[in-house]
Amino acid sequence: MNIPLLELANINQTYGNHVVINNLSLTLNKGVIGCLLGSSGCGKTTVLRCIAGFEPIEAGEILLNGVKVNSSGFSLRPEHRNIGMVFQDYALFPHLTVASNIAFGLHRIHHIECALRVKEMLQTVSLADVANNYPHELSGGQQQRVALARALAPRPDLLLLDEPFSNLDVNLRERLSLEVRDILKSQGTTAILVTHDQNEAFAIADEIGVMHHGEIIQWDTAYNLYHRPSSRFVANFVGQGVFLSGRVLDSRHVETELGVLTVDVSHLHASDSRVRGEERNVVDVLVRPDDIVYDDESSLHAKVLHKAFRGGEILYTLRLPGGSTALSLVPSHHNHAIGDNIGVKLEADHVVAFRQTVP
Amino acid sequence: MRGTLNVKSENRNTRDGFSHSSSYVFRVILSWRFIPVLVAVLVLVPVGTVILSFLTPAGGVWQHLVETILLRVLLNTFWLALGVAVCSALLGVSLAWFTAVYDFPGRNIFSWGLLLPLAIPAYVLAFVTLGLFDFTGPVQTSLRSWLGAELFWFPNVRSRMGVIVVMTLSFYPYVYLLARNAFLTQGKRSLEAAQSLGLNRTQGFLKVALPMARPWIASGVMLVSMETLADFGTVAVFNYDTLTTAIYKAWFSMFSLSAASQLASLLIVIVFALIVIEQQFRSRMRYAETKQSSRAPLIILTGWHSWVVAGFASATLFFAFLLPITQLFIWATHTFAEEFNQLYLGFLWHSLILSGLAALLICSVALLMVYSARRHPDMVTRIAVRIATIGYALPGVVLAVGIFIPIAWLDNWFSKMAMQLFSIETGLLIQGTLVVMLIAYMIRFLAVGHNPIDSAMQRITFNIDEAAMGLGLNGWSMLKRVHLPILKGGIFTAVTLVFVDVMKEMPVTLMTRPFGWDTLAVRIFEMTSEGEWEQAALPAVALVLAGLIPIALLTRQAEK
Repeated sequence: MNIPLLELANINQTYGNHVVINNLSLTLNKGVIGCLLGSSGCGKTTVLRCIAGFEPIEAGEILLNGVKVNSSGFSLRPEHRNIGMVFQDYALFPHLTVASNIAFGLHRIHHIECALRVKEMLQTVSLADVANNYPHELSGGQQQRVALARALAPRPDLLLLDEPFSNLDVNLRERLSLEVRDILKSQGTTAILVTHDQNEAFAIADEIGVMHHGEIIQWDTAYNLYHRPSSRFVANFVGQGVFLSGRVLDSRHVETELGVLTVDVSHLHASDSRVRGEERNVVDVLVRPDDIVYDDESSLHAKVLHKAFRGGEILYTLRLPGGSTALSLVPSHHNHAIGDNIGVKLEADHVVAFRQTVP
Repeated sequence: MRGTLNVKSENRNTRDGFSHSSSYVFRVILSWRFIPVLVAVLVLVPVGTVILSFLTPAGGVWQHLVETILLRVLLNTFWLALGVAVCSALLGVSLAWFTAVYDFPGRNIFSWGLLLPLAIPAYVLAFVTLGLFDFTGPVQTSLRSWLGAELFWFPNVRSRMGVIVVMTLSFYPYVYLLARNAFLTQGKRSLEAAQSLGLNRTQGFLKVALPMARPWIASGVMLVSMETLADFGTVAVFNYDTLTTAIYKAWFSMFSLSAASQLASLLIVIVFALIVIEQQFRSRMRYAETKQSSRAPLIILTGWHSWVVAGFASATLFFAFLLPITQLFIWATHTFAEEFNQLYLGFLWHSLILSGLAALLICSVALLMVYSARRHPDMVTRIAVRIATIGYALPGVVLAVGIFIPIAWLDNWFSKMAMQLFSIETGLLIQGTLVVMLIAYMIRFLAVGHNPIDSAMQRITFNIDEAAMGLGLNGWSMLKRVHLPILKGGIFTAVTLVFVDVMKEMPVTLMTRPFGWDTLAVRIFEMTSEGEWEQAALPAVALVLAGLIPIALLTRQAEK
């Protein structure tokens, strides 16, 4: 087991009475692209700025390559950390050309080497033809790539990206985020991205931490965040879905309006002693829109309340026979009017349940 | 929407132009478009007069000037402008950097307090500084008696260095204001970008923040240079001969208007060169503009660093504002009993009535110009507005000369015509009336009134007009319920700024005032030219108090 590239151990940060980072820890291995996902004000950008060294931390430690860069009373200057950063507004230098912007961080190496590296970076981000232009002459997407190339040029140990796509058009975002992932992977860069957009996070990151009130609620892969959220908060925050009320039959089965589901509820019992003692073992089962599929044969009929056409699919809001509401993502050629009754069935290899009583 | 409106009006114009061109001219005159054109012509007349005078054959006085003082005057002007530009840049940029990026004791107060010197006219700071630090002043006298005459050494205040220091303390806020603005919007962020690329703070400042702010800094330095070149009062107090004082003396001591005009043509060429350079930087500023990102936290200075910075800012504020203000009030209270009399109230009244009239005239004209530019956003109007507002760059003495010559000519022509046609003795109709002065003020300060009203008008988009029309408003009701409420703030700012600027103005007032129309500024000039600092204090206090109003407006605006 090699040492992790980045390690945050119980870091804390407050502004006045407001706790911005609350006892946060995370570990990132070399070559991995991590992501902090959260709504605005959850402290994710502050975490990034602490790693970069722009802000002090009040408690805890930050280790880079096993070396302490932050601990109580000590903070290595940002310029000595070898961490690259892509700023939200790019912070390109308007008085320098694209090539000079990229060369900016290469001031310690020989100029021939520097020119080679700039050329290489220009090719990597496909901007060779605008090398001598000034930032204001470029489109938003091009500026973004300059910012990336500038940060990557000095071969930083770690790259930080602060909401890197938030200034771009929505349709450009997805394409660029895949492009950025390819570039980062081709350079073998370890990176942390901060965003509030889950699609962006899913597109780029290998590991994602969902943040809330200065804490990481769950650090996991995109697949697990969506399908195996560890908490109600993550289940709500990531993706769409509804909670269906269900009755626990035994440690592996729950009965709901959609039938008896196979759910592992043993952890719920283990975590809360009160539930075990109670007669009615009521839980909430998370059902994603893709868990409910269209089936004419099904005996289970649901009424269409709303529909949202999404091109390839239609997202139906359905009323189940028992009265609860559920979402269903159906291929768009199954076109039904509002008010229709359609046959549906649950098709999921597993689902997750949460305790209904929220203390 | 705006595009379609443009197209429509252009179509109409060309159609008219083809069918009956005389009626087109007539309609231009009737439409509001003639107002900016008329004002532009008014600005061009003095400029043209002065420039043309360079080509007319020179009289004996000019020859005499060339042989005796011209070279010295030119060198004096050059060294002064250079010295003030360099010193203001150093002082303004460093203070702007410290208050924009660092946190140190008193930073909040300094960030607006360092603008306060703008409230004191440079010529007031000049005579207070001379009164304090001259050979016979309280500072040197007490130091001499304390140290003894042998040990004592003090730099000569009445020197080129003295003028440069005074003007720097007076004008650095222009650089400070612009540079600070640049640093606030991009300084901290660019510094972080540089640090993430391995530069330390000092390198980041030199390699990133400073070059990025260059257009703003240069623009501020150009403003300072123009003010320095235009200055008359300060150099007059110091008896430091520059082009402006030479122009004044040629006219009022040698009584040669043509020599004055030829000197003025030299000054105007220099000033126009500066304007061209300034415009270059201003256009580059647009490219460099970045969206203001969320304000990054300040770097907190600790230990002796913080005290050095705080001390530096305090010293500037002390010498540029606190000390002169205190001395002014002390003198004013000394002389209050004898100076506060009928005569003083007369100066005050003249200052107020002139500033009031000028503010009213200028803001009305500015409002009409803004509306006509909105109604006819075409090339002609744009150019006319540009020319009309460039009068701000004309030094007061140049303007006075340039306006006096054509008006004297017009007066003579008119009285000759009246004599010939009707045998009536009209005498001088315009010369020696307030009209000359008000026209001169209008040319000089139109930009001051135009800018706030224009930027307020930018907020009334054509969509707002159309929304109001859609809700049934039209004509007067639109003006009353939509336009006036939006323009109100801009008009108020414009009136205030013009009022205060006219009140502080010295050379135009001095050189074009009708007999008996002495103002506070004229009184200060007369008292200081006799070295009566204490007598000049009471009128100066009134000017400083008035000068504080625009600073308050400025800081309130900045806080929004």
